[in-house]
Amino acid sequence: MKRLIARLDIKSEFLIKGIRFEGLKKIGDPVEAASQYYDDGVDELLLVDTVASLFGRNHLGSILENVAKRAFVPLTAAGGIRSLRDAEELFGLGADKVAVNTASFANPKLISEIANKFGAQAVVGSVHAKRGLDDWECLTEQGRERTGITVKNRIHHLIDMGAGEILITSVDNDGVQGGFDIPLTEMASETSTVPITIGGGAGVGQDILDLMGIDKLSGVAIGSLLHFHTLSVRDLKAILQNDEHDQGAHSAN
Amino acid sequence: MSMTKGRTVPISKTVAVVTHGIGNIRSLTNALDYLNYKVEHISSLNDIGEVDAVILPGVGNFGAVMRAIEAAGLQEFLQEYLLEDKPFLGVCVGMQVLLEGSLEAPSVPGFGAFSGSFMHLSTLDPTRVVPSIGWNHLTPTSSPASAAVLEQAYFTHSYFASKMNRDEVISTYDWNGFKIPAHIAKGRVHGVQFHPEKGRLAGLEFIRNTLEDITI
Repeated sequence: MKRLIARLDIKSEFLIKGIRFEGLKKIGDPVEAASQYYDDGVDELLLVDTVASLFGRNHLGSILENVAKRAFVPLTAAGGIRSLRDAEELFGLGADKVAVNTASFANPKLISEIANKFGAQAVVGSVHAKRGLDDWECLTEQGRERTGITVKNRIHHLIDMGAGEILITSVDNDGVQGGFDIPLTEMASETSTVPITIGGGAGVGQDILDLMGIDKLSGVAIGSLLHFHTLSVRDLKAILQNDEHDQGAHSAN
Repeated sequence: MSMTKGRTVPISKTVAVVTHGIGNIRSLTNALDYLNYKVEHISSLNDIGEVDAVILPGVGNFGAVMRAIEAAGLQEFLQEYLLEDKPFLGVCVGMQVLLEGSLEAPSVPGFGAFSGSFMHLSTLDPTRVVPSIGWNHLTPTSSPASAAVLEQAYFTHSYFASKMNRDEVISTYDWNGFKIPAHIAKGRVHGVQFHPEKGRLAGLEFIRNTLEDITI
């Protein structure tokens, strides 16, 4: 069963959403939205402080704390985690995992430090993947900076450093709602020995069904689709359950 | 027992949460707060007062958790507590330390309240993704079922309980065709591989039912 993860991008005290990490639009109150997704049966919540890696953290802590008192599902905090201390603070406020991208390039020990103290299952290696001519490149600083490192190499590196799972976000497809980057998802799932979550692109229910055949894929992160009320978590769960039922009816296993 | 609007008001029992500095005790505390238990965090022998049950949380490394318990001076207390079959719930690595040991830290013994030890999931099937992360259905074993039965739970782990006594395994889940112990119990000592505190209202209800069951 693949995990359905609601992704909430946060700027100041607002839930926001952009397209390809730009043109950020205010949507509403993140605690309210997270509570709604939780009540509707979401499997996990991912809270991303979208400006923390640029300007330092502001509101994520109090939002996280309030969500954690209300929503009893795994919570991942991301955005601007630069040190073990930052991670400790977020765990103390109720995060079960932290996702790290930008700072782990400058400080390659960051992921192993967090994993050594809190376990590999508490560290998510976050990858922002930008499609190139024949490969995908990792970006940092919320899609502003290039690294010259391929996603495939990065996945190996993240696992070596101790990441217990990997979150891939397609920068090209993010917020576009035109479907996931399937080749990227397949490549990442084949490359990784730890669970992979893919995000960026969900626009209709079928987009999520399109991922179900990728056996090793563990999770799907959904943003716009939920925030703009195209479909609810309940709708998505119903779609996935029907699909599972159909698969069961068609295969002997 | 049904849970009115998700919340419940049990008789104000006190639950001690062992706070050894490794992992997320906040989630468990939030869950116990929600269920209206009184929570006491114990990080040394001095903190231990009159409690109705002890919960040992834990994530990460088996050896690190055992060493942290020892460093806090709580090893003997817990060993004795378990020997006396007092109300206890171990969660995740808090469950793992109840067995004799783990290949994650072969030189560090566990409490040995249950026979068996922990092995890496890859020893069952090296081609599969590890850690095992996600929601899984629980299957009760033929053992006398505990009052608290949970249909689905959230797991995140790389090691699994092996060579256990069958009648001490209350439920299992299916990992790529292998039955992995999910909930173990012996007298009033329970352990769960999953995270009931992250298991929506059904998970919280499981915590409450288990605690009420073992503190009668």
